[in-house]
Amino acid sequence: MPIIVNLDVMMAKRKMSLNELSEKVGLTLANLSILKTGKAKAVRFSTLETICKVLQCQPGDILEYVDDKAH
Amino acid sequence: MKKKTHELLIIMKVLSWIAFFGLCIKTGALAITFFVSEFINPIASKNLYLGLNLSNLKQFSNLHYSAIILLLIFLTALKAYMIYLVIRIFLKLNLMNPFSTDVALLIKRISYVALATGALAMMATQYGQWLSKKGVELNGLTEFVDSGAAFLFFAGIIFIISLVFKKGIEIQTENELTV
Repeated sequence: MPIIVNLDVMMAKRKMSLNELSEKVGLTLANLSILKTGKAKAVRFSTLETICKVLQCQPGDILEYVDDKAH
Repeated sequence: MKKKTHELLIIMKVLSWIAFFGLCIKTGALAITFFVSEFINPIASKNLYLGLNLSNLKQFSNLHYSAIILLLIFLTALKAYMIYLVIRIFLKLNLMNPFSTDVALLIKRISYVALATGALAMMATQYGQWLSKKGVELNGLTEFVDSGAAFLFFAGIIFIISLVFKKGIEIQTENELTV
């Protein structure tokens, strides 16, 4: 998939565990896992907003576009 | 509203089971009376099931008599199978996530069985009319063989529903993977 989710990178930078992020964002561990492993088909703006607020980052820090050919 | 839906589903499940048992009994009764009329006592052909009298047909031709009865047995068995598939849908249906591959397959199967039932019913009606033109009295057959056109229409509607359901599965899967 061309969109890569770099959630684990940001979590490592902020020294935050998945459990902690799940509690602060209000998403279940299962849903966060879906997002982290790149299995998500879509992300709501509200979810992206909350993640960025908690991790104190920009959407571009979490989401990255890589061309299919290059990937 | 949720409670009402749940109660309605229970009532429908019970009615489906009753219809299924009724059709199984009908199929079995027809099969048994046919067997009795063929191998034990031909008088059984005078009342095969709830007034169905094909004794004239039996005298006219045993081959046509057997063909009509087997057609009726198969038709009733198909209807019983259709109700069985409906019961299986009730057992598999989960209202929290209703769009599943299993249910979609069952709906598709119901449409195919309905199509076969409709075609067979029309065939039985035409066969009965052809025999009547030959001068054979078929008492109770017309009431016994349901309208094939209704089943064909039902098959068409169910097929369209199965296509919509398939789309529903795609939308539900996408929704499940939306965070």
